[in-house]
Amino acid sequence: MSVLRAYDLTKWYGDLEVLRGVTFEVEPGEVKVIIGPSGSGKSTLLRCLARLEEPDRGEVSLEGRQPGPGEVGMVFQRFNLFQNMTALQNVMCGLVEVQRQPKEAARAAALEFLDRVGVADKASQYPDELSGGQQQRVAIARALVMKPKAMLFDEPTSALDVELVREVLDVMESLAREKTTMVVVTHEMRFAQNVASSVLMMDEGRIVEEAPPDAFFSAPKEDRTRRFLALVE
Amino acid sequence: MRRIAIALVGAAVAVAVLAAGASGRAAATFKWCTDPTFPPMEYTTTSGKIVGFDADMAVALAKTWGGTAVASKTAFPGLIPALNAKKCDAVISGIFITPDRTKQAGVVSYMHTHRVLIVKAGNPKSIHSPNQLKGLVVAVQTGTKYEEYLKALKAKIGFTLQSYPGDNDAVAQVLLGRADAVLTQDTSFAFQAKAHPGKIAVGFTFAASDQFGIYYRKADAAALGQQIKDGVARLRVIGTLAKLAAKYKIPVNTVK
Amino acid sequence: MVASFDSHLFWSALTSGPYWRGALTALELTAVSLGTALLIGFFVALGALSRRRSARSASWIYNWLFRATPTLLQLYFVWDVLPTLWSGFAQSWFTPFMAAWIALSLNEAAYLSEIIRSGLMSVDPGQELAGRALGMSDRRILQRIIVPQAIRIAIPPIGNEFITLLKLTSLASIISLHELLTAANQLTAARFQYTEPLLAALVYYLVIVSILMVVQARLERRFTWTSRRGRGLAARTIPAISHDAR
Repeated sequence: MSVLRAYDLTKWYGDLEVLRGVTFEVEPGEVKVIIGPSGSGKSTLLRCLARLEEPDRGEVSLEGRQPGPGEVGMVFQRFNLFQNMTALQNVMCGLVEVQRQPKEAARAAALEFLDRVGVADKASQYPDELSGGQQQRVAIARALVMKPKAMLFDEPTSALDVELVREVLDVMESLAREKTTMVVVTHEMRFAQNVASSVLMMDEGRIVEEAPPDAFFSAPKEDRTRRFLALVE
Repeated sequence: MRRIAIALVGAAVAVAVLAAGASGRAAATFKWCTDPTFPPMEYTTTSGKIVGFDADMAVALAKTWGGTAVASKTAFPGLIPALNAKKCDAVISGIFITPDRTKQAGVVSYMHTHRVLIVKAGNPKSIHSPNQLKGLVVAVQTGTKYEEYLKALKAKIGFTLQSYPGDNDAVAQVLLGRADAVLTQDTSFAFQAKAHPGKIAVGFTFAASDQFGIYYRKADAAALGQQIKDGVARLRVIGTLAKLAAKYKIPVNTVK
Repeated sequence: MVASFDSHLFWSALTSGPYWRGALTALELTAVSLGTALLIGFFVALGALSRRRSARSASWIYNWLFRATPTLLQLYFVWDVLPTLWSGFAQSWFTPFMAAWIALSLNEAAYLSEIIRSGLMSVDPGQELAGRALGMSDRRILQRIIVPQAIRIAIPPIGNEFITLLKLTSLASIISLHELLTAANQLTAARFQYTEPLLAALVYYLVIVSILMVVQARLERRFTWTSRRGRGLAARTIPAISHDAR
């Protein structure tokens, strides 16, 4: 049974149809990477999957039911760490506010996950004082600590300086190897090649093509896919 | 021919300047300060014009030496300071003659009146003497001798004292039912009773009478001060003061 | 003709009971009015930002009504017009302090709601997004993330409003409240001297405002999120609302 499933998602922003009946599913442990030009609806699809937006038509289900709070983790392009909290407090936030865990247990869990993403030494620092790569890793820890059923990544490295991209991709690749269910919107083709179960191309609100990474990159079937890959190479 | 004309114009101008410059002597404009919140002595119409007994008297007074009266509005506590700061030449504002004021300025008396405690019609709290104000709420205009008197009385017997910018504001509190009494002058009562018939009454009239005075700067005593003295005497003799008193329903014996 | 400074009058005014009590009354009135106004203003601001049209209209009407009316007029209305609507307002329980508190709070809330709204709007929208992604309820997001960040931005303009409110309390003298300016006025009337009594009042206002400025600086530091204290952060600021027309 698929973990996360979107069926016939349609979304309008005013006159613009951003999602045109998108059906999409991801199995447990799968890593699906979505690529495509800007405006293709990739971010909107992700936000609908994370229940941050309501589709105008269609539905999203997690394990056949409505997703509960925090069950689908989301990592944003611009990190969106809570500015008024330390790294540690950021990671604890979901545990304390949503899962109502006692502070001590939350702190221990938060420290463990900060360590896992390699920023335990920055626990008492504020987002303002961290590099982009460190902030994004804290954001990943913040989502992970909630033990979500699936993790969504919306262009997680696009806002990072080149030399900081690696540290974040390393964390994401290790998550993939641990069989975390992931949906990643990105331009990092090498990441897709390394860990993706399948790669999807989106354009103008539709999924144009889906294939395992080898097939996708070496022999794309669709014209649009070919043209887009040529642009980003 | 032109030179003569210029000389004549020059002389005329010089005479006019000298005439206007002479302080207090046959001044063309007589500037008087007042706080127009004390009907019927001085108050404002809806268009903002200052009217009342003092306003009419000021006009008549200035005419006795051929001048024109110009009114200037000042809050009550600032009247004497305004006079000393030469913002006006005289203060006419239903203002008592008291020793501390006559120390600062010269004065001419023009009216005797009595203080009264105004209460709601029917005198529901049975106020027949100042001591019966104990425990009640009393309104008064701020910066006045009324307020001074009430403050001293309050220290002795104890009541709530509310001070308001204008005399009419204080009387309004009795009409609203918030204050049980207001201390003011019988002239004020005459006017307010006419404006609000049947709503207010006099609870107590103080036996001692007060004099209203026109204040002028001590330095002007010989010039303007004398003109005012002579003017008031003349207005009294020819009956102008009595006529004005009748116009504003003030008992005529107050200006005798 | 320059009179010499009567330092004896100045000092006796400065240390007199009416001045001291008047200053305390002014400070007290400012504090309770600001507190009440912040509460009302917060909800009016939330209304203005609401998705529901009815809430937005209600907030708009509130701000329109109370910003258009001069404070003086509102004081007169509460003190002199309300008793005509219900005689209970003429009774002694409805003190000038209470009337001033009501009028000043309602008036100030309108201005504060705009400051608070700007503060809330200036918080990065990604913050709310991340909160919702974690599954936090709207109320929690507001409480734990949005409001603290909005407060940081709103502290300087709110400090300004405190000072404005302090000066507005002197208006309450017209509804017979005995505050600092009343004490000064009564002294000037009794002694026919302006300079010394007013200067003494000015000293009190200066002291109160100075204390406020220290408190404000402390508050700003508390809301600066850096583990290294004392570092200047480039904060997003919003301009204070002009007071000329009040």
